[in-house]
Amino acid sequence: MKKSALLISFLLLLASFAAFQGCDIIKPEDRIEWEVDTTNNDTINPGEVDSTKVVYIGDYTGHTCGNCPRAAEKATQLKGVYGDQLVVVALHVGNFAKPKNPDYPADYRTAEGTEMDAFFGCAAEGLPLGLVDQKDFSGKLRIAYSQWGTYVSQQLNETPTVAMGLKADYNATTREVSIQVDVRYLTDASVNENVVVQIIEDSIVGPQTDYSKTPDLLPDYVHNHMLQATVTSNTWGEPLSATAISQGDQFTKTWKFTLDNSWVANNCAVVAYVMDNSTKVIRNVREVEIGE
Amino acid sequence: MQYTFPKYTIKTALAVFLCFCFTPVLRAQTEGKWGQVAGNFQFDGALYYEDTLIGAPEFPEKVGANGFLYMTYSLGNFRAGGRFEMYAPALQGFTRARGAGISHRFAQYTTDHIDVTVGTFYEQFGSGMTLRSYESWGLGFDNAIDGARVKIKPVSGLEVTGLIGNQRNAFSYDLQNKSEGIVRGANVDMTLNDLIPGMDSLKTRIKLGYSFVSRFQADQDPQYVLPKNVGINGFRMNLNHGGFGLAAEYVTKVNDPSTVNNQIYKPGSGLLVQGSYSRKGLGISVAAKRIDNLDFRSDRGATFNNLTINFLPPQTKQHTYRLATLFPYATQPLGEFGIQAEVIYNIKKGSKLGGKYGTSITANYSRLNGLVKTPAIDPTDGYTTGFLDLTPQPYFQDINVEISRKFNAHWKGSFTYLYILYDHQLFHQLTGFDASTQVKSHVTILDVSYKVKPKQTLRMEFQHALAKQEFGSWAMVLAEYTIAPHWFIAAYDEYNYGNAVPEKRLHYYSFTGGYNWGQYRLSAGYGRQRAGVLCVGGVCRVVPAANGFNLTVSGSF
Repeated sequence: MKKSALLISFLLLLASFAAFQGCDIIKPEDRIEWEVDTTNNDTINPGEVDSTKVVYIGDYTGHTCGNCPRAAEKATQLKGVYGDQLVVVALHVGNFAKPKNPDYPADYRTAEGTEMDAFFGCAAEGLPLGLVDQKDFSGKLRIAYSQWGTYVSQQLNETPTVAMGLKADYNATTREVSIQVDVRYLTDASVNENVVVQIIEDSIVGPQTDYSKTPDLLPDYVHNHMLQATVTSNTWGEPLSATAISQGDQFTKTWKFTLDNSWVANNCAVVAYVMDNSTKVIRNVREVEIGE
Repeated sequence: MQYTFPKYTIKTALAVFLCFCFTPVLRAQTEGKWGQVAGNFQFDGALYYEDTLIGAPEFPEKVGANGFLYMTYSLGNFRAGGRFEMYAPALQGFTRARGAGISHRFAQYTTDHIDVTVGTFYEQFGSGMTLRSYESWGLGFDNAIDGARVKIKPVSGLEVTGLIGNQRNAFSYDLQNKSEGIVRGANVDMTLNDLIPGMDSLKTRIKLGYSFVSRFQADQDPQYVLPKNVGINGFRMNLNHGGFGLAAEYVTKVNDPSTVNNQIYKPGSGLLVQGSYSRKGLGISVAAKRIDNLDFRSDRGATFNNLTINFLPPQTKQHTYRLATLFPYATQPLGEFGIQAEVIYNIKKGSKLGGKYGTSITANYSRLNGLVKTPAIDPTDGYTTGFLDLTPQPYFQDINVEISRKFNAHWKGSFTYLYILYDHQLFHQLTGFDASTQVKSHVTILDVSYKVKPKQTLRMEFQHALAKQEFGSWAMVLAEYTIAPHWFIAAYDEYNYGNAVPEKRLHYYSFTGGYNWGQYRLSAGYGRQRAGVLCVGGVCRVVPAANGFNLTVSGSF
């Protein structure tokens, strides 16, 4: 017993030394290498019903969250790579989004954002965190920004389950947007399928904490993709169908929505997504800009 | 995988609670040839009220409950067990888990030479800087490994451990919800005195250890080329000679870009040195540590306290008095340098100074600084820093003295003074609470007990924290009456009289009563709890303000 056990022990030890040699050391010149499948990355026309899979990132953030600008940078980076195949919505939620006098007077929170956050639990865990298609990846629902790319690329490889189109006509005089969403199911689905329509706004200049800067208060930070309002009557959207859905079923829904006077129409966009309302997982999403 | 949120009601919580209470009654503690059943359980429930004055948020379900039941069965060399947990939903301040399930299960076979475990287990290598898998119920921490472990002791003085598995993800009870990354580890501990002939008679005892832990996680990042296999390597030594002791551990980690270290490829390192001396009536210990980029997890995207593989031993005194815990230090795995010294001296019984029953004095000093980081030329390298490039202002400093003395058969007491410097800005990053940059807090505590009758004791605490920053000054009085061995009642009031904002000069009070019955314990109370940070061993969680009733039932069998 003793001798064989001793032998096993030394073998184990040897193996562990060998294992350390087996670590992956990445040389500086090899560290960044964009691996993007661009075959499916043509500009999509959101007005046409199209089966292209577009991925949603919900960026849960706050203006006094000093690590949140890292998440926003990551979203911009990914947007630069995936273009129209990625839609980002920034939701200002939790303690970090509360107005804080005198330096952070703005309140970027929305009732819908707060409701969604209460459900998904991002602020309770700590920001920044994000949701990719609001999907739970084997226990990972709230995802750190450093891994958004991983899950976005994974979702882009999913077979789309709905084809979608989104149109938005803006009347600059009345500030009214006429919105139309067209959905065609590529699979069967239950009755519990919703469409959510939101308004987001880019280029809102306001203070933001950034721990990578000294001092860490940036008075003129540019907030992008900020959730401003929900067009659908409910945070979780409106049902598409009164009965169970079959493959090939098509739905068209329209809304009229008046933009708040404080929003810059040219910086606003409409976001529409179709989700399985029992799981909140987003099947597909579209974004279309408002204005000229 | 689908994400569903079952709705729990007060009824469900009550039903589960009753199950917990009666389980021990149903136990079959049959020993001998049928083996033996043992275990423990705890149930913590709370009823919350919204309290806008203290900032206690609305708790939509009103009632929160955390509970566990741990049971093992052993027969000869064989042991098996499991742990059932439920969150209905989890108490405030814990990850908002809901549901119930079997969170741990294992089978183990142990002889003098070998110990094999399959399933869920806890393990620690050395000081924990390479690997520590443990749980802390109150902290809401559990990073158990689910896999297999083998320990071999071929000869006296040599123990080799090998393990592999995935880690438990936060406080999810779901066994399926495990780390994406796989943890592999090996460890050897040698006692040279037992292994080398002729050394066994030496007064100096020397132990050596080596551990290696590695994580595998696939790289699917479209932008970065990430190391799939990341290893941490630790050497340690332990030397004892009479009352003297010296322990040191040095660990290095290869490139591990992660969310926590902001995606940098800089290798990590950690050094821990501890010295001690003790003789009758005197104990001295000194320690130093330097940690640089040593956050190591089984998922490079994990944050907060989730999926940590290693543990960085704290080097500050863990205080228990409430006002001494206003500003606890959280270990900074991305970079810190700490020193600590402690002297415990007992003044002899019967001496003029020591009194009839003796007096004990403990003095402790700790200081932690950050590392000054200069951005590296290649941003993926992160930063560069020297061994002793310390931030001029400490993250934390604590000077404290405690004197305790028994005066006579009825009276005993202790006096504690602490001076704490605390860089609140650093910890603000965790919480989003308002914070001043540096807090200076002087805390004085008087703790006296009076034995009223042979089995009845009245204990009182008078605490005061003097500070200009943050919440300002606090005063606290606690009274606790114990009727041994069954009953106790306690009440306290913390008064934030020095808050700069007059409306926040509030009382935070609590009333608790409890009953002990053998190994079982029940306590219930009502209180208003201030928001704060709870740390155990430098691992912290934010505790939100709360107002309401609470109930705890625990026991072992």
